[in-house]
Amino acid sequence: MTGVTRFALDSQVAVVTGGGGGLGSAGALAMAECGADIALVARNRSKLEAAAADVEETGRRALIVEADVTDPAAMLEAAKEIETALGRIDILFNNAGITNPHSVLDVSPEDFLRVQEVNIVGAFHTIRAFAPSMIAQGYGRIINMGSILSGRGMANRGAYCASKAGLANLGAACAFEFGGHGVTVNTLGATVIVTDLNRELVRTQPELYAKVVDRTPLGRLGEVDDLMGALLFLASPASGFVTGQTLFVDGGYTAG
Amino acid sequence: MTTTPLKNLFDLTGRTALVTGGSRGLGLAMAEALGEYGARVILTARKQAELDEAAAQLQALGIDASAIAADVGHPDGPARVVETIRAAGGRIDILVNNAGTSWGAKAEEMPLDGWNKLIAVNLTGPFLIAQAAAREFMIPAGWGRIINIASVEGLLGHHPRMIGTIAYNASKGGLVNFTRALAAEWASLGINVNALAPGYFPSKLTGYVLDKHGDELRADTPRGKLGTDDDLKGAVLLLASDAGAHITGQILAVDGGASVI
Repeated sequence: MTGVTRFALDSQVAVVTGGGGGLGSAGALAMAECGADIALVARNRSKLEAAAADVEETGRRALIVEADVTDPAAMLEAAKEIETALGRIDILFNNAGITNPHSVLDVSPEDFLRVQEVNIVGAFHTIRAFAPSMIAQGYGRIINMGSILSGRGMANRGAYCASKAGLANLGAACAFEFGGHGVTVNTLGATVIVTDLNRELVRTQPELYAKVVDRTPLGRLGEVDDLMGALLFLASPASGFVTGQTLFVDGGYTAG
Repeated sequence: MTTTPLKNLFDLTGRTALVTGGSRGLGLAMAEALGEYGARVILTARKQAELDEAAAQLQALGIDASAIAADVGHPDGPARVVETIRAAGGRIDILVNNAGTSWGAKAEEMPLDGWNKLIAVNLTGPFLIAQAAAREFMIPAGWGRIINIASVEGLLGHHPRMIGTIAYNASKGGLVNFTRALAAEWASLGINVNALAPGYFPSKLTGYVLDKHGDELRADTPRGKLGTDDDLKGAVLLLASDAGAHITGQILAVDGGASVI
């Protein structure tokens, strides 16, 4: 393994969960550009079609699987479908996630649980469905989408903070269980990323994000592109001895 | 089940505590807390007059307090303090490594002699005094408590807007892992080693930062206020007493939550 081949994903298959925000489709495209075929898993097929077209434009195959990560049977079915269509599963990017903007005393028990269900339990279902084929072949990369709030608190994000800390430590536990089989499990700790979901809000109400920007040595929020280098590192052979970690891509937020 | 009554768990009667940098501020407040719970207290600091005043203040509260003027940042300072205590028939059961200094400068302008001086006081001093106290008193007794006063600045970097304190951050970060490593090494000898990581407390040391950035620091602390002299007392008693018997190698932040956001 030398030079750029450390990051090459040729003849590998990556599963990306979550549609909509732009991070999943960017990750899918970045991995396709490095040579991987891509399976896109989300609830709404129409939100994945543009991403699939982008992947195919690179010459790689794209498979859309319309399924909900919170449905364990659907994830087991998705694994079968992907293996049949694309031949194997090497990489799982657990990107599907939701948030809730209410304070701990204001968030309803149902909404709090829903965040845990998607962010933690959904990742559990996908790991449960997709890791066995990685373990069987003795190689795999699982990347869970974390956050600066995997390790820090923030007001009005209690449900999200709980879920992202839980997800990071679920990943650390998996790292122990899968490590002997060549399967690494890491968390990508993003700061607030400007995506299609919040771009307008960032532009019109910057004060909502001012505190994060103020505490960030690099002085800005993250862009989707900022995460791609770290994602490719964690998805590729280059990171073979890195597991159980949270890699923060946050402009230095967690350093201060 | 037989358990120890709570008030006895924190009781320090019969113990002697050495508090470095004990003539004022947080050091003096911690010395007072240890003395209030029954410990004999020895203070060190560089200036004899301030030390005498501090010891008198503790004595007025009924605490058995004495003072030794010494510079723990000088290579011979720690050994001399321990020898002075031994020669007087005293001992050290509890060591509070509180003496520390800071230096505000941009990293690119930080002078080497300032860096070395700061490391000598904040990191080498605590090592030398722990080593001397353990050799002379704690290892033979099979009991000791070392409490290093680190800082949240040893856990995290510095807000880019604030005056740089690179040597301070480095020294306190070093003290944090010194604490873990020493705890691991000496646990079997009956010596517990822990650190407190205070946030910003108004003091002579932090005055220059608080003058400039006090309002921001308060706003960045979930509790919405800075620490007071009383705020380290409970934590130091926990780590100095039998209440903390099974706690070692830990870093306890006392910072109003500033390091969790």
